[in-house]
Amino acid sequence: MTAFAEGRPIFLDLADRMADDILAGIYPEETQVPSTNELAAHYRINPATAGKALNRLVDQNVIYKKRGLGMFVATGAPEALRASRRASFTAEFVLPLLDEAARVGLTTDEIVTMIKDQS
Amino acid sequence: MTYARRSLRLYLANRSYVTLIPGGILVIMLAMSLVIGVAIGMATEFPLSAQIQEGMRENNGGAVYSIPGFLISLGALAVNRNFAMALAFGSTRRHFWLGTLMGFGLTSGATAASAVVLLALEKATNHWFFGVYAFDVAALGKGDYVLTFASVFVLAVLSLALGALFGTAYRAFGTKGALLTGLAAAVLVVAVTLLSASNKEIVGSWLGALGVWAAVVVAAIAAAISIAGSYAANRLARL
Amino acid sequence: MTSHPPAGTPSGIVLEHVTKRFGRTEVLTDISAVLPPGRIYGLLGANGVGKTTLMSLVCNHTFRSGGTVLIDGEDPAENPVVLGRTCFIREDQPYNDAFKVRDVLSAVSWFYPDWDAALAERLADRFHLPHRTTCKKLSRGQRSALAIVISLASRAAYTFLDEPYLGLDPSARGIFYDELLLAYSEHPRTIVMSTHLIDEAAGLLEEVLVLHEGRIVLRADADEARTSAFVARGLDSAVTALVGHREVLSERRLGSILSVTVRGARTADDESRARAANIALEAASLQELVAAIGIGGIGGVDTESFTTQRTSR
Repeated sequence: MTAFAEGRPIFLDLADRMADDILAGIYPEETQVPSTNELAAHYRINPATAGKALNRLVDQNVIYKKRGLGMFVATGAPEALRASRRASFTAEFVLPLLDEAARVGLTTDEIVTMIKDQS
Repeated sequence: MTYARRSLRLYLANRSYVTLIPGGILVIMLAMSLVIGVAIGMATEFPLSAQIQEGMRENNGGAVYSIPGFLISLGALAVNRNFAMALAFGSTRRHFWLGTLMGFGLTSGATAASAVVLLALEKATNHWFFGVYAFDVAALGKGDYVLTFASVFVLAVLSLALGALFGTAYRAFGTKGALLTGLAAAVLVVAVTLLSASNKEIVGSWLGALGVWAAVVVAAIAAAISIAGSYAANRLARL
Repeated sequence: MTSHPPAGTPSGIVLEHVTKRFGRTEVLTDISAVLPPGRIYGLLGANGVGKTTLMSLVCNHTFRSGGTVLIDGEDPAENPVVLGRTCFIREDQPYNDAFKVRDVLSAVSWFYPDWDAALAERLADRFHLPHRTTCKKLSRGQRSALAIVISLASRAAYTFLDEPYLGLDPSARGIFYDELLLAYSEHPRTIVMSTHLIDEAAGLLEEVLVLHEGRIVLRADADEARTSAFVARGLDSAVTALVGHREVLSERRLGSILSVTVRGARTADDESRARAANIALEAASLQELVAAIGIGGIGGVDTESFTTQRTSR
């Protein structure tokens, strides 16, 4: 069974994973994403949980339902996902980074140097 | 009936219950009668003397004794082996009991039919060539086919139902329960016997009116009581 | 026979104030729950808390001492239509001693009009069940496999699985999870699965009911239950301050280090306070949550606060 993050509902984790896959181009715009039952079988999770993940993506306008056919990636979804991830980048990555830096006594300049060295 | 038939099929899945066992019991009894006949013949003469033949015909109750021994245990086994399965597979107690009872009917029918066939063979072979009486006996109606069938059938039903009663009582109330049920049955038999003895004239006239069917009718009443008892115990049995 | 709603309409299982006593011992106390149809339920709790007994009561294999049980709106007791929709193979299910595996499989097919013989065949093969072996000679794992084959192929509308993967090796458990989901997707049904080994199967469940000391002490969406407790570990005083007045399910000590399982989701505030106070926060798995309930013995606490009832979906 593919491990999901502990302490977090599986459906949130799964929705994020699918968003990652859409961002990575695994599911291009206007192509079909796996069905509830396919996701449930693949990840060995309850279909209701898989359905909740899909519904979350529907609510975020990332995917949409074609009646009788299944779920498809919305046009512009990757761009929208990228924009929202950028918007939350500071809160999700920069602030924890600065937090830890403060605890171990790294200055902002030192962090900038480290980042530059990596890229 | 759909529901009861499921448990009947479960009963019949033990194919020997309607094939090997019914005929087998009587054939074993016949073999024992033949062995005794041969032993007597070797000590006296072949064929057996008319006096010995008459004695056998009057007194050989092998057919009657052999049936309960086998069928009481078969009845107990059948209910205990299948009850837990039938319930697991969504049967009611009532339908399990009904289906099993139908199975008992078939086992008894097969036993009675075997007795009739063996009786016919016994007559056709001039009593197994040297005068052995196993089925053409007083206990089964002295060669009357209908009476033989009825006697064996009722006795088989009674035995199976008694077995089912004890088997189910054991499941419902444990060892103590089975023992108490046995005790209750014994007390009932003794009470009826005492009551009959103290009212000899009345009971005698009843039985007299029934004539050769008296034994069959008494056994049938006992069978009916056992069936009712097994039903009651079945309704209380749990897993 | 009157029925509300009419027979044939699946309306799930309703338990109202169900109790069970064996002699003077009360095994189940005032169990009330509504289980809507078509979901997979986990019946969780330590060994001996009454999981099997509860399922036995629902299927009328044993008799309740009080309360009401309804399946599809009808009392299942001696009700052939309703009981015909149930399949409950006990963990210690007795079979006919004379029966081989194949005899049991043909026998069970007579009881279920929707019996899926092809599925039974495939499952028996996948589990390597020996068709010619008599039931009493099966190993623990093989008995579990047989129960799984019967339960899934029965297509019973109400399928009860009693510790279904006892004795199964990891690959056989994988087969069970896959086949359970496949059978459930193709033919939706209500599945109640009791187990004391939760984590591996946690994802399969839609809702969990946790039994403790004969009562339902937790009823929750299985996915949400993953966030319904966390573990905080650090200096005694700091941890106590962080936890505040929240419910502690269990606690362990090592010198001045205190480790507590706290009921509820951890907040962002918890995380920043924990960082400041050098407290480690970890998610508690469903298994740990259930174990904590068992250790902490919260059975006596007002159960209302432990019950997150789902009213609608």
